[in-house]
Amino acid sequence: MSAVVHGPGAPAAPAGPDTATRAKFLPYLLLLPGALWLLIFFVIPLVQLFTVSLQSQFPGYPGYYYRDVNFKNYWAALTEFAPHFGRSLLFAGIATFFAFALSYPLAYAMAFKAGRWRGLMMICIIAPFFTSFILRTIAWRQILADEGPVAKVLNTLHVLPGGHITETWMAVVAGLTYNFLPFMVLPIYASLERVDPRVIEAGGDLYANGFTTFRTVTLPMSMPGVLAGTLLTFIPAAGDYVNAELLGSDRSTKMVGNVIESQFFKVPGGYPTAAALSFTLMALILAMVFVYVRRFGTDELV
Amino acid sequence: MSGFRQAQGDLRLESVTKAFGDFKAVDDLSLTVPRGSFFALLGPSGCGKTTTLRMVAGLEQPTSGRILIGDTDLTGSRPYERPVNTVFQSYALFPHLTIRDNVAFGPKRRGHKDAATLADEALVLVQLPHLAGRKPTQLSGGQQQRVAVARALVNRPEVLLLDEPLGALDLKLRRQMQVELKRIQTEVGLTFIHVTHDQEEAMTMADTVAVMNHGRIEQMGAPARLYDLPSTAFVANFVGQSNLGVGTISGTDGDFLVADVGGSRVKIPRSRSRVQQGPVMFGVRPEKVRIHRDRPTGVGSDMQATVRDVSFTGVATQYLVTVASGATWSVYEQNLDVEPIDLHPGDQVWLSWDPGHAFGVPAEGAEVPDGPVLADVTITEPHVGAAPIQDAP
Repeated sequence: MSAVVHGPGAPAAPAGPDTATRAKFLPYLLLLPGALWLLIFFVIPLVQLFTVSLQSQFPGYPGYYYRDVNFKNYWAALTEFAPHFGRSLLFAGIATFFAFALSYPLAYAMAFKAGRWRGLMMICIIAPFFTSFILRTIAWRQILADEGPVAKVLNTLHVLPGGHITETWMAVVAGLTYNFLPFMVLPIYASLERVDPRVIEAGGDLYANGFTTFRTVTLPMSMPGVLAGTLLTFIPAAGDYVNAELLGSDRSTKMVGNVIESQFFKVPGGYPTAAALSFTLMALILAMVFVYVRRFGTDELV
Repeated sequence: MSGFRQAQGDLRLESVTKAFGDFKAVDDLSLTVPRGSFFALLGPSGCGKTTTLRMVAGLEQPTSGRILIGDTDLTGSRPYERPVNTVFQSYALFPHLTIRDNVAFGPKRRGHKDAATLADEALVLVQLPHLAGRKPTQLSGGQQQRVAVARALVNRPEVLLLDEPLGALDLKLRRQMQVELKRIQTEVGLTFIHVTHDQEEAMTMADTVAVMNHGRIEQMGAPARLYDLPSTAFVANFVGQSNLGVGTISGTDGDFLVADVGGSRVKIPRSRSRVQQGPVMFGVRPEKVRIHRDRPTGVGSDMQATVRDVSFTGVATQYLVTVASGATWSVYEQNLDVEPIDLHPGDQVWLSWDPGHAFGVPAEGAEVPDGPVLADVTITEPHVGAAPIQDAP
């Protein structure tokens, strides 16, 4: 402690090359823990996964592999599980669409109309996170069950093909939509909340009616939130397997996530296939996100 | 564009009232703004001036009363149906659009094919054509303000509303923009309605100033007229400063009323007093009062006082003096003399003025904004800070 106390006449701590060096290295020092974490728990496992995806099986010894550069795994995974890839992207896409359709009005109401109810609405959106999402997904089985209110009403109206919701793609999409809804609402709300109401008034003042103002002012200004929300919904939804597992059927609604899970844990000798599937999914999503962000993203928005 | 109301002529407000719950923001306001004039609504914050503006814009609907341009009734119509545009206080530029697209927004909505050309012309008018491709966040406050003006003007509205458009600018830039706005108004000849709490801004720019307080217009007229002959104590203090004192009219002397104010006899021209008998609030502007060491002879009115504070401002010296009634008066002396009168706090002095400059306003219900006494009259910040110099009633 005494070292930092100087007398009034004592020279100040030398502020020469020492300080400059420290200032130069400080950002790297701050980055270090995160970088290490990423290296150990992301980069190394990723490389490891990639090597696994190229392994070959020892003939005659199921479950044993040797290091190889076997791209056939990718071909096999793609041909055999193409429908699952299709379903993953389709279900995630539909769920993202519905989540957007539900979230935008909700976020809009919260940002502009809720007044003192805003806090309560925010709590209602976040509160479900306090319960395990497995439990919440299982609860959807009850809600959508054949004897449940939803199926009963729809069946009474004769608008439900097949008579069931559970064990169909509808249940899976409903579950995905529900589970990722907050990830859509919150970014959209955050960007709408930053829209100055005066700017919307300015739209009206400049001869744009309510709808035109929304189309030309409010919606474009909330695009960063829409972009973030759709990505935060679509990406995890495409890789999700819990909803298809708990709400879907054994065959017709399985997604890539389910295949990867079963290849890893249930099928003997499935490791390289599972790893190849994981990598393919990752590449597909990366490519789609890249195109999407290039098309709609703009960082010039405030 | 269905529902757009083409209208031409004077802007008229007929008994307009706007109530928010029990609170009347605007109370039975009637007003005519001649076409092509520069009109200022001046008042302290909360006086209803912005609410009045928003009702003209259509952003608020009046609780009762009518708003017309020429003979077209605009009451109840939507903002986008009115030939009225607003320059918002915070400018409210569209952050996602370029400057050109911001300005072209109005013309585009009205279906102009050459919206971009119109926008560029409007940007020339505000001297910013070189910034057309930028985004609003890349512009300084003063530039954003001019874009906001261009964005409204490009539509050639019948009435242009300016909601404290210079409030966010620093003093120097504000002066510059005052001149600029006046130039633009002269050039395009549209009706400008300028809302401000800055009396100097209102007086500099407007042909007609309406002073608002508590949702009503206290007085309306040309700036010089308002300053010379305020009709209420509020106006006397909100538009410039006044030395005020409550007294009673005790008699007449030719064309003058004689009043007893705090033990001193003062004269008010009959024609310059709003009350002819009973209680009156006497007033005289600080720069009309002279200060002397010895009692002067041959001037109309005089009064003894004690110097409390002297502040030299270069071009003038401001004295704060305590008069017999105990009230504080303010006196501005231009520094014209070769050997200036050297006064210090505590000195006994005489004040004198030409009684022709005095004015009388109703004493009852007289309301003067509170504020620190030591304030310079040249302050252009929210005028509630200006010195109320008034006799203790």
